Amino acid sequence: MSMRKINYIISTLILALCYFFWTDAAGIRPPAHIYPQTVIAITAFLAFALLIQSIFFPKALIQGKPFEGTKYNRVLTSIIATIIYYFALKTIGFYVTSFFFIIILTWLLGDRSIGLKVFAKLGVLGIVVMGLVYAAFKVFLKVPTPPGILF
Amino acid sequence: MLADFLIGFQNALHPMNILIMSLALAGGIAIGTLPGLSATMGVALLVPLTFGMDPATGLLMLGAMYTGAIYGGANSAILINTPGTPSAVCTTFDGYPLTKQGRADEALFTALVSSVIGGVIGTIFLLVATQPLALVSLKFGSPEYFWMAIFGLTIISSLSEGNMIKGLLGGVLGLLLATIGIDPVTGHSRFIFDYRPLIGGITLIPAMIGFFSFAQVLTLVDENQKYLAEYSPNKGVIGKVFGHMLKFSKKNLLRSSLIGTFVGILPGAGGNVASFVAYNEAKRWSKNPETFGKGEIEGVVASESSNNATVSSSLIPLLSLGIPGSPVAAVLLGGLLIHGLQPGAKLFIQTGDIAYTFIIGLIVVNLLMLFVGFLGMRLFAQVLNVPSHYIATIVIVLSVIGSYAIRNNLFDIVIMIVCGIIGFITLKVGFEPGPIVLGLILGTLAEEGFSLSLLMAKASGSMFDTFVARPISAFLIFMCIMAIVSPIYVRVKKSRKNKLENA
Repeated sequence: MSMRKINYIISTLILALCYFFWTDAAGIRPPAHIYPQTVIAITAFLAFALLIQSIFFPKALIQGKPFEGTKYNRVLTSIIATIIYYFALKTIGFYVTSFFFIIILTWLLGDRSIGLKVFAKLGVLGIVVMGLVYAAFKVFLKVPTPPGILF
Repeated sequence: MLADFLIGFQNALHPMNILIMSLALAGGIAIGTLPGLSATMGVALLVPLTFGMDPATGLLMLGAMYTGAIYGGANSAILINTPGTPSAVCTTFDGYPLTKQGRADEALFTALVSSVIGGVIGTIFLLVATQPLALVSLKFGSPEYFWMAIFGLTIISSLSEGNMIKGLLGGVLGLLLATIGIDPVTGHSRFIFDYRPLIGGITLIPAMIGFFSFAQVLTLVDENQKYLAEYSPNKGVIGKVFGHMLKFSKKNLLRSSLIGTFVGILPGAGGNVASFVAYNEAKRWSKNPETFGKGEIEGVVASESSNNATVSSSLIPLLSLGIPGSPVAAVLLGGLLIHGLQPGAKLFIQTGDIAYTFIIGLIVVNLLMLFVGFLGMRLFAQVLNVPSHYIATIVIVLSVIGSYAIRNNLFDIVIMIVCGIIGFITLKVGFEPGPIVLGLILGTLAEEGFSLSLLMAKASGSMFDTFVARPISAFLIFMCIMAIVSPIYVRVKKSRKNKLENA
């Protein structure tokens, strides 16, 4: 997708966002509405300016296809793994979930070779990292971590 | 006063105090390096440890932790493009490109030396000009804060590489994000669209971790390179950095440290605002502004000297007037009160020896940081020898715990993940995260300043008198105009010169 088309989509999305924010701001008691409505108006104006620029002055845009060459598999794997990690740590607990998250995502992002040595290495990595995190956050800093049924 | 000063000097150089300061500095640097762990958290955690200590030693330990944490943010900003603290956001702009160019240790050592110099200059002001500077800070009302935020926002024009409209749009989107949550004037919720967790607003730290840290992880994963950057220790780095700074950075260092000192004394504005303003000014005054954002060492100098200058100057209102101007100052106020010390004029009259031990100790802390920071720097730089898919996974775990630690709220992890995904996409389509985070940082300051000024104008009956006619406001408006006009003037002048040369 070209930058021009992407700019059309972005400006339209931002204009839609401004519409929802403006509608919500209508309910704010005066004079508290002035600041947010001013910010929304400026945002809408700039989104419109981006649209106009993309339509009439395409030479001003950075040429090329921004998403060309994107490794969607790797990026989506990381995003989905992080989302699953978030839900798992809520129920299981931070330390156990993080240990498995480190092993699984590092393996998925690496060369994905299978063998006892590979998983032993990842297991050691998980233990060392989580050991350091535990020592720093739990023992020394006493920072609370998301609780769960395990640890 | 001279006797107190001499006692302070003697106490600050006591071997036990130096040992304690060194340990607290090392702890502070580690805390600052980890995204999400703030200087406030580090200082607050140390307060109970000071109970059994001599008051001066306890305060020195807290001061060392504060100084180390603000500097520590630069390490992760330079090495993995993730600011450890909000004050180090500007350090990423040139620090990470320098790492990519294989000049990581040069950037790290520059950040260290700049932080030390900024910290020493800020502390000298704390020592000699506490009273007059505190009185100036009291003259700052809501209209001045509003214009100060607008002045900070003018930096967006500098941060916008490529498309200016996208840079400005990023900035106002940051301002818009900052309006989500409770209205500061009426106390009503707004822009939450019936989704209750949004009532607390978009918290800065998780959003910052998302836009910089998680977005950077996704970029790393997308690039699929074995290592973050090529790195081999450069033996001549100390001489090279000192040589460069002595030759080219003197004015930048002084200007940025003074900006940091001045912004630091203003309650509510901290190292994050100071570093943005100093970075903007460094770029504006530079002969090569086009190199900023692409690995310009002066960008690191400006950001780091200004944010560390705020450490001492943020204590000026606390020590002279008893007003804590920053969250860390508020924690330090607790530390002072626990030890039976009364901040304000009495601190210098009744317990002058302790006050001067603390202030002179802060100079010693900054000098000690040169050695402690140097040892740490060598250690942190080894991160670049770890395969990037290991780094990516570990950074996600640290981002999750860092986001959660601020409010112990799971929703902050959601904010981090969403901002990270948005940050990755926006980076791809030409929106830099800098303006968005700048808008988010200055949004609260701008809105509170604007709304309260509006109420003041309503009461006084004149918008002009409230917003424009006050001397500091007028000066800040002038600075805003200069910040917008001067880059345009320089650009026009340069293009005319190029045309004449080509003709």
